[in-house]
Amino acid sequence: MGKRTIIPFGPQHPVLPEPVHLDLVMEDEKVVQAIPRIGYIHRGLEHLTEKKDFKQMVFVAERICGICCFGHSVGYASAVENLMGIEIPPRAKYLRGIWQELERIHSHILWLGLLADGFGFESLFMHCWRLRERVLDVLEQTSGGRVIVSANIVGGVFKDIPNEQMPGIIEQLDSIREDYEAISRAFLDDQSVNNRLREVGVLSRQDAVDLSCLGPMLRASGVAEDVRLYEEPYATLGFTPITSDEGDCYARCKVRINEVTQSIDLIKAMADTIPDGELSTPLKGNPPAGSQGFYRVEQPRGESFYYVRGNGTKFLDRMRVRTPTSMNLAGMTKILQGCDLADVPMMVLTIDPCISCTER
Amino acid sequence: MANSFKSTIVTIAPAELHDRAAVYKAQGWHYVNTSATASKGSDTLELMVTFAKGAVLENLVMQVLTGEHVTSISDLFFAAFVFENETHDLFGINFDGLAIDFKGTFYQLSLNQPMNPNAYQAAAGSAASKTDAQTGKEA
Repeated sequence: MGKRTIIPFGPQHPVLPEPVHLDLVMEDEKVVQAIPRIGYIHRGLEHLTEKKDFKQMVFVAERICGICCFGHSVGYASAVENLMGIEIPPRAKYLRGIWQELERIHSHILWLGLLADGFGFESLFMHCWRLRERVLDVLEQTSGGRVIVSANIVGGVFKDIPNEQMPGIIEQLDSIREDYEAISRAFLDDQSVNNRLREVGVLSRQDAVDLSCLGPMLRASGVAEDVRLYEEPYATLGFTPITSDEGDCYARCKVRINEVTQSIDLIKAMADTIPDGELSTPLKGNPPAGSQGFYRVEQPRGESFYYVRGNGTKFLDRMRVRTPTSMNLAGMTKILQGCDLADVPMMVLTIDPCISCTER
Repeated sequence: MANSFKSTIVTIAPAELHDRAAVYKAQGWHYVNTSATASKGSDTLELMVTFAKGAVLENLVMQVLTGEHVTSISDLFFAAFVFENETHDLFGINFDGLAIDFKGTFYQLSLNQPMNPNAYQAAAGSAASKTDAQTGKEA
């Protein structure tokens, strides 16, 4: 047995996109154990719920994270709608779906850029983020915000995407797709990228299930689980999850790449079939005492779970947000065991960590 | 967005948690969440452990006292160690047999059990005492 040392990795590290801390127990160049430690950016947002009007809290929930923000506002608003027994109008469902898929696109392209930066392919990183700017332009045209959309309220949405604007959005997405397909070939076909990603950080199907992994990390190990299977309007549009069987870093990259093109197709389908009608259902009163609401959203990183409890006042007793990265930490510690120190950044990056979400 | 989720709440005793979790694991459910809720004026906490299978969510709910010991399910669902450590640090529920036990240092907090109002009340009641229950300071 070689000499063991502990290397602290993060929360500040040049290759890390997020402030996660890992204690890497090393034997020579091999990682024997990886112990995560979080809390660097814990802000107590769940506790803040008890002090904010439940209607105001939608906007705070959106600011849990700067990348998967719209998903959090959908999750929180939907949990409160579930608690109060509110059914939102069909047009609001489609609008939420369109913004959610735009968010998925920009989040995955952001991640691709960070992955390229992680293995030193700086020009590819810049191309990815240049392309992401065009997606953010579409978000800004539709909502006024590049990242923080702020369109959700409890009961629906308060911003609309006029039907006349939809063809222009689809045209822009088609143009983005062409550019995107050229960039994605660099990730999938380039030999130097393949050398860094293939057969690195393999997570078997059984391990992915046993470790309660979520999102692309789970689907890259061959498990076709996605919360959108049970959600409208996705179920109506015949949504099927993207999967891969290899379970390595390359597979996780491939799943996210393919999810971007799938999201473009979903937006086009939603834009073609979006019904006319109201944007929101009027809200009456406060969450009843003792009432509870649950909801799940498929964020870009996986399933997020939301729980709210009312007490008859305008303040909720509890808001609970369980985010996908906090679950995928367990899978990450598993794939890090036995790897080389040089592969640690790739493995951490391929779970697409979002520590703002994890620590709230 | 409406969906086809079905959520049920099952009330159990804390001692039943581990056995119930073992049944869920054997039946292929996936673990979703562990969290606690405190109510002002009540000295019990409500611990909720959630499992999912497809569109179905089942929530096991149990009443526990601050400082009470509950058997960890992280031997069955490794990912639970994150939420059980978090629940311990924020609410003061102890989990026995944690896969990775941070012993109260998972979050670096300036207050003990900041989301448990009963802990605040204990601190106010013992203001004259030399040990500050909230800040962990000793005079």
